[in-house]
Amino acid sequence: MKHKVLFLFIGFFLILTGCNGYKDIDKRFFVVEMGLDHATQKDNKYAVTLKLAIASADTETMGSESYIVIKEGKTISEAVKKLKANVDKELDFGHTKVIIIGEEIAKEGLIDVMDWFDRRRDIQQISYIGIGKPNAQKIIDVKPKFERIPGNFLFLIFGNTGTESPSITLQYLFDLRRRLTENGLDPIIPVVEPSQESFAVDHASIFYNGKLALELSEEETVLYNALEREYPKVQLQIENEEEIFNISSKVLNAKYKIDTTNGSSPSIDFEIEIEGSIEETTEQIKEDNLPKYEKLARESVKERIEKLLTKFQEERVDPFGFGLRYRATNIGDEEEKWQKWLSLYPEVTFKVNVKVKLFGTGVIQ
Amino acid sequence: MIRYFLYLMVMNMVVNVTAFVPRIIIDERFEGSVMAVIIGIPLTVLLLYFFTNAMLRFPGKGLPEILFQHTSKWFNRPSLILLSILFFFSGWILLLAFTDITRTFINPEMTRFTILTIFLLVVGFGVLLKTEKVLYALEILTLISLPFILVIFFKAYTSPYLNWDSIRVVFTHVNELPTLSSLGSVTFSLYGFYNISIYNRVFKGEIKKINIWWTMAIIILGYVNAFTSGFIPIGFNGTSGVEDFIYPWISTSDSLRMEYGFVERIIYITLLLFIGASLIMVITIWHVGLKLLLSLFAPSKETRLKTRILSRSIVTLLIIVTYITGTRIDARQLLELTKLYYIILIPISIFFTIIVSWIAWGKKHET
Repeated sequence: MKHKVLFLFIGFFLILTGCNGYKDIDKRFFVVEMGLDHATQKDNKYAVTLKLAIASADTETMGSESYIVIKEGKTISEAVKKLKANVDKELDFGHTKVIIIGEEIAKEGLIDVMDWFDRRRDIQQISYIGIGKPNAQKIIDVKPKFERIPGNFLFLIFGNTGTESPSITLQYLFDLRRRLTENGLDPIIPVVEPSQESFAVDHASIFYNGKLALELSEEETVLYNALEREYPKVQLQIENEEEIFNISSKVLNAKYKIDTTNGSSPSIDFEIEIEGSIEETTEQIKEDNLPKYEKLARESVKERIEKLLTKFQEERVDPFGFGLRYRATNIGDEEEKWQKWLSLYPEVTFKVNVKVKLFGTGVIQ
Repeated sequence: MIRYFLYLMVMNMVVNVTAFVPRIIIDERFEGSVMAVIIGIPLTVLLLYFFTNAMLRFPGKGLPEILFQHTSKWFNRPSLILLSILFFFSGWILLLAFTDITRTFINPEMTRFTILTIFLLVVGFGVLLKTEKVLYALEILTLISLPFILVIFFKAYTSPYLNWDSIRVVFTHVNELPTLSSLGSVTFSLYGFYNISIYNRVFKGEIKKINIWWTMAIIILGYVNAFTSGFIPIGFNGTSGVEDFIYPWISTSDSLRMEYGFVERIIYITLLLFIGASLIMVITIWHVGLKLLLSLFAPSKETRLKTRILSRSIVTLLIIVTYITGTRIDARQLLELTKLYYIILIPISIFFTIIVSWIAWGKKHET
């Protein structure tokens, strides 16, 4: 028995000392954000920007120290290889949680670009993707004053652990990959813009065939997120000629069905249930008037959703996955189904059915 | 005692979630793997029902004793050699798959040789344990890892990013006829019960019978397991995106996020748990192979020293063979070999189930 234990120990020591690949934490640079742009030099294709967090043993002194490096290369890996020669420590991509893609690259197409990110085992599949406007480098350069850990602003924004806002769209790397490869489900990526030494992440862009096709407005982004993720905290502003009022609402249910029974004119039936309370008005609202406001809200929301869906249809983009749902509910060869759907989608009419339930006017009437 | 039987079943299922079973199911997702799951599981459970109950008619006896007693020499010796080679091969596939997984996901700079050394050190000692002790080790590791594995599965099922439409797309191809390899991989995930060929020696008749309720429970478990291993990755990575992954489940577990867990990336927990689970499974399977082979040389207990030397030399030989083959074979060849092996197993398992049931039936009618 003793021999066995001794043998095991000797074995483990041999292995632990003998293998390379493990480096101490003070010999590593943690890449927290990564940006991808077009190269400025002619014979290169990509410019890779990395934000490196400087690790330190003491959290007090660590602060928000970070270091930004940029290199260009024909491929992403070439640029990263060149970067390795420019820093004194090992680059560690295990904490790369935000990947910003420059708008120019997004317009050209993402399918080739994403390969490097999917292939590397150390890049998290749950890292967040954003479109950098005007380019990625500008976004990486921004360093908000109140940021305590490098990159923390974007981590909190996307991670939904700090602020929660329906205008922030969330796109994970694995989800982007799925949406890029799947027929009938298009990627939607948040657009990150610098604003006043900080960022604004208030709208998103939709991709078609891997290329940036449609940039949504903030209001449309909120509406999309409310429907797609059944978001719990949505502000809806309802306007008519006389008054403006705001509803703080919760989307309880947003379901759709694709009805292709009557051949040539298929329809998509949306069922949406919203409940909420009034948050701000310009006119005084009496409690017994609530049904009237419910009606106003219902009509307004219905109109907006129909407009949004029609816009998607006109641009032929499909972030909700109608095409995928069509493929899921019909039997046949995948390629045939997909071609059929492509011809059906422009013909589709949307029937939106909204239910709004207001249960109060807040603290005051 | 029936819990030990369940550990054998469940751990075999769980380990195969990460190894090659999902890969084969996913490769053939439009060519009949749905049907393979639907018909494969009840058919395998049918084998389970007959084989296990036949074995349980011989309390305290392993397959070698039964074969030696009831069949002639020209049949039992070659078949025991064949069976032990098959058991060794199952463990070998699992070990190499997890060596590859460790290399791909934990440290690509480590050589296969180093990883194999770590694994084989543990497995080598484990295989030489007494039969009861192997089961105890299996119980400990099952109790430690299974709850966490179930948590990961639960996270996957409840994730808002699990797209059921993608899974439904695959299910529209339910009417395709299953291919042999998908059928083989589905049945293989349920083959844990064949380990009873040796472990029946220590059950000592404490399990009387696998009744119809247990059978039903195992069928349901099998369906849930096959669905989890094959179709959850499709739900996360899409119907076309999923095919590029070499180990779909490991990559899928990286798509899960625990906001408030102590580790945000679930992939590392998954790797830890599944490597532990697979090592104990390799020990369990190889132990069966070792005992089957040993039964040829030392049917009596008089020559204990001889048995010890013999079993050690068999394990050493196994380790050497694993080193030589393991450092040369690549992931692609391993997958092809695995597919072939799963297909070959189908007729062999049916054949031995019939033999053992027939012997048991004869015994019942003698008395």
